[in-house]
Formats: sequence, C-alpha cells, structure tokens
Amino acid sequence: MLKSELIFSILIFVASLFLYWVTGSFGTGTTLQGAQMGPAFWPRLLLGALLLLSVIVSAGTIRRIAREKAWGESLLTMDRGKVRFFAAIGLGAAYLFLLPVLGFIAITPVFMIAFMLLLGEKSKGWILGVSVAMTAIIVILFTKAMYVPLPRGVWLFREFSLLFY
Amino acid sequence: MEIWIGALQTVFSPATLFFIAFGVLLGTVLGAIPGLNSTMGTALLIPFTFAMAPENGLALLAAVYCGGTFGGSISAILFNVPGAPEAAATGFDGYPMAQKGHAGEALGYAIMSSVLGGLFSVLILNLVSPQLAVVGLTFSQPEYFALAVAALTLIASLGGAGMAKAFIAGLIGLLLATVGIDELTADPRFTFGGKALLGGINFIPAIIGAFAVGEILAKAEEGSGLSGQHLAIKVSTKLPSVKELLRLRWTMLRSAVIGTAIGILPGVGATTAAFIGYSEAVRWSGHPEKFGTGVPEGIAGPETANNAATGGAMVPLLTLGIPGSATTAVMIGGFLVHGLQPGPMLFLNQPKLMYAIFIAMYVANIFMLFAGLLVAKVFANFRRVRYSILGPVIFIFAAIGSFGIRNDMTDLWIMFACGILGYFFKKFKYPIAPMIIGLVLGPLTEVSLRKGMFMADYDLYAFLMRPIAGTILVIAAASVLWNLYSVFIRKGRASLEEIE
Repeated sequence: MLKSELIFSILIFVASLFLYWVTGSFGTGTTLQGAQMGPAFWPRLLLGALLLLSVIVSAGTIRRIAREKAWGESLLTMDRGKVRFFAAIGLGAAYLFLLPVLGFIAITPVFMIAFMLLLGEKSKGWILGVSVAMTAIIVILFTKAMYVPLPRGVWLFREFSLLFY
Repeated sequence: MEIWIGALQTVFSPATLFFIAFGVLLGTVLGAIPGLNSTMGTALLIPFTFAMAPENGLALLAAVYCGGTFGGSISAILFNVPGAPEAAATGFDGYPMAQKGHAGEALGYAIMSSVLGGLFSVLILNLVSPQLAVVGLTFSQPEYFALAVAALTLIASLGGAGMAKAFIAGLIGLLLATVGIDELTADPRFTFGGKALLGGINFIPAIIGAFAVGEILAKAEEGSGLSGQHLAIKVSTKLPSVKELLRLRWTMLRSAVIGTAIGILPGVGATTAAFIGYSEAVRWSGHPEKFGTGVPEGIAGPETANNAATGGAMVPLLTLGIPGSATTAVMIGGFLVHGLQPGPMLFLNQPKLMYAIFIAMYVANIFMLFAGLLVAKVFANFRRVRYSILGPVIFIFAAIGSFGIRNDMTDLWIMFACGILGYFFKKFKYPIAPMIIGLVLGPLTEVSLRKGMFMADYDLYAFLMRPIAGTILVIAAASVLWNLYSVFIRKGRASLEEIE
C-alpha cells in the first residue's frame, strides 16, 4: 500500500514536470505574448507548487516505508476485490465507448445487467426489472418531459432509438 | 401600505399559492435529479407563463428557482451525487453523515438551513435591495480575487495534519480549471491539439465523477456492503430542534450574509456562495478537523449560503436589470414575455408586482420546507435498495447528469477519469473536497488576478491595497497562519509526516 502511494505521488511529480514543459507552447501566437501575466503564468505557478509538494509527500512516504520496512511489499497481488475493481473500470469504459455507437436505449440495459452481475446481484427479477425500468424512466423523463437529448447511436441503432426518442 | 396589502391579496389568492407550491415542488424534484436543474425548468416554463397573469407567472418562476437550489442537496446527501452544482459542498459532510446512519438528520439540517437562508435573503432583498445593488457593482477584479483566495484558504483547514496532500488536491483542481481556451487571450491550454478539451473541464462531471464514480469503484473493490443490509435502515427526515438550530445560529447567520452578498455580485452565483459558506464554516469552527466526517455545520454552512444566494441574485435583477445568476438571466425572459423590463423603473411603474414577487419568495421558501420533506421521503426509499442494484443506477444517473450539461461525450470521459482519480485519492488519503473547490474557484481566481493586475499596470501594491480586497486578504492570510500555528506549533508535533 505504501509503495503504491509512493508511485502515485511520483506520478504526480512526473505529470507536473511534463505539463510544465507543455506550458512552453502557450501564447506563442497572441498579442499578449511577453506580457507579465500571459496564458502560461498561472498554470506554471500551480505546477511549480505541485512539483514542490509532490517531492515533500514522496519524501514523507519513503521515510514511512523505511521505518515500517515495507520495501518488500508486492505490488502485483491480485485478489477478488482488485479483479472486480478492474472489471468495473473496463465495463464503465466499454459503456462510454459504445454509448455514441449503440445509443442510450440499446446499451444501457445491457450495461446495467452486466454491472449488477459484477457486483454480485443474484435476483434475476431485480436485475431485469431495474435495468429495463430505469432505462424507460430516464428516456421518458429526459427526452419527453425535459427535452434533453440522449445519444441515439449510429446506423441501425439510430433508427431503433428514433422509434422511442 | 396600500401597495403591500394589494400584493398580499394577490399572492394569497388560491391560484398564486397553487403556482408557488407547484413551482417549489417541481424545482425541488428537478434539483434532486442529476442532469436536470432549475435553470432548465425555468426556461421550459417561460412559454407557459405567457398565458398567466404576470404575478402568477413570475411567482412560479421564482418558486422553481428557490426549490431547485435546495433540491440538489437531497441526492448529494443520500447518494453522494449532487443533483445540482450548488449542492456539491453539501455532500462533503451530508454524505458522511448519511453513511453513519443519520441521513434523516442530514436532510433535516439541509432543509431547515435552506429555508432560513432563503428567508433571510428575501428579507434583505425586501429592505435594502437598491443600496446593495449599488455596493455590489463597486466590486472589481481585486475584490473578486480576494474573495476567491479567502475561499481557497479553506484547503489549509480541510487537510488537517495531511496539509500537503490537501494542497496537492487543491492545486490539481486549480490546474484542471485552466484546461481549454484561455479567457483572456483565447489561447488553447492543455488541449494537446484536439478539439475535445477546448471547452474546458466543466466542474459538474468532475464532481459527479470524483464523488459518485469514485465511490462505486471503491465499493466494487471492497465487496462489503453490496448486500445493502447496512442501508436497510428506514430514512425519515428529522428536522433539527430549536436547540440544535440555536447551536448553529452563527454558522447560519454567517452563511446567510455571505450567500446574499455573493448572490448580488454578477457572475458568481449559488455554487460559489455554497463553497465560501462552507469555507467560512470551517474557518470559524472550534473543531475544523471534524469537517468532512459528517458535522451539522458542514451542511448548514453551504446550504444556508446557496439558498441565500437566490434572494441575493434577485437584487441586481429587480433593481438594475442585471442578472446575478444563470437562472435569473433566464428569468429576464419571464419578465419580457409580459412586456416588463426588469430595472429601477419597474419599482416605479409596477410596485405592486414587485412586492408580490417579494412576498411570493417568502411563501416559496416556507413551502420549500414541505416540498423538501416530501421529495426527500421519496428519494430516501432508494437508499434502502442494495448497492449491487443501486451502484449501476447511480452510475447511469451520473453519466446522464454529466452528458446533459453540454450534450458532449467529452464530459462523460471527464466524469469517468475524475472517478478513477477520486478512487485513488480516497485510497491514498488525499481529500477530494480541495480538488473540487480548486476546480470551481479556479477560473474566478485566475481571471480576476490577471485582469486586475493588468488594470493596475502590474503594480501589486495598488492591486492589493483596496479597502475591501485588502481586508478580505488580511483575514484570509491570518486564518492560514493561525491554522499553520495550531497544527505545527501549538500541538508541538511539527514533523515531516504531519506536513505530508
């Protein structure tokens, strides 16, 4: 855990360093270039502070690792919790990828069923009932009552969505 | 006096009372559902008000506004998904309190604070609105900067002993706020040559992601509590007793004043008011370290402030014709469909209508008590559903809530990325609240600093030494120093671990 925490703070340091380098390209074409507070001023101030603070946090974590003799802890252990965590991320990402392709009404019940099964839900009635009912409620509430558009998907899926909203 | 009696007769007619009650209920429901909000409700209702008498139509719009500002706190407290941005700060303590099994009490504090904050601001609107509007217009960039900095100093208090981690979280929030087109020079920043991030990172998907999606991922990993047995406690809203309210009197009064004042300022609305209300509640508390764990002050502070901002935002609208918030900007349309132009002349030409709006807002805030209890009761039932079912439902609402803002898939990915970041923050004990505060106040802080310094010809002394701005900054600096003193010197435990 401490080693993962150290990696996280080092990642913040590395990302800050990279973003500081990116700020070099800001404002090169604007009239305010050379002004005392151009577009890069504020992000650089923040990134400078982030670099400093991530060093402080990393140093503190290293001290704790040394004190608790935790250098030997393994980072690669996979238990059921971690598998569920990564599966949840994969499922969420898949939903977001497929939403503009398949449309809200086609993908949402499938995603909800998969997510409920992942979280260990056993009742088939609840799984099916909630996924279909929630999708229907959201479609009616957002598209019919409040005129908020939902993704319709492309090709045949778009035609299917157009039957409902 | 005759005008007042006429206005009272108008508001207390059955039709107007019905429209106010309907408006408050509708606003509360819209506020409580992520993705829908009172601005949207007001815009949709404007065409319907055309057929109504002006006082009924405007009372309805004002009621939706009041209800919507409160409604978001219901879902923030129960599910950690703020239904509206104004309620984001309410979730900081509301959700932990609900997790401890005190959801009913948390909802009670939120309802009561909203009602009292709303009533206070309408009273101020009623008494001194023209004078306040003029003071509000004297605020310039240095004052906005000072206000933003004062609110950001809250980060020092939120971190407790892990102050460096709190500041890292705050800085990440401020940095996320810089993504997109620079407001002053129109330069793209951190967009990496693409178009997706040109519009910037909207804080609503970030808030929803960091809190709700982060929580879902953590629950998925834990595996515990998914059965929902720990949630099977019946939630019934419990309004605070008079004794409890008296204990919170200073928090509420302070937030009511802050909310009204922030509401008056054009361009900063109920969300900023809620964060500053929370920040000041922490600053003046005798136990700042307990904030974030579910303390009543953490709910009363932001909730009083955001509803007080509703009355505040009406001040410039009614007196000068300048909207103080997004919803009041939409409400201008409500005036215009009736051939009315908000501004000083309206007080002279239509005094009865003006006073009827004031009275309607008093009534709306009182109705909010009942609407809040009713809607909270309905939403609380969902908490009894086991997490293996509730989690995916929350995810879908989080997704639609994020998508609904700009109908842009980028916002969904921002929500998801912030969810993963929120999960790691939680795992490695980085507080999430500072990141959200940084993200909300980032644009105001940066733009007011750069614009103000430009106006002052880059003379820092001239920028800072304005009476109001200087006073606010001195108080903010003193509070940070006091915080550092109390953490590192008074306790006599200054060590690297404490800073980190």
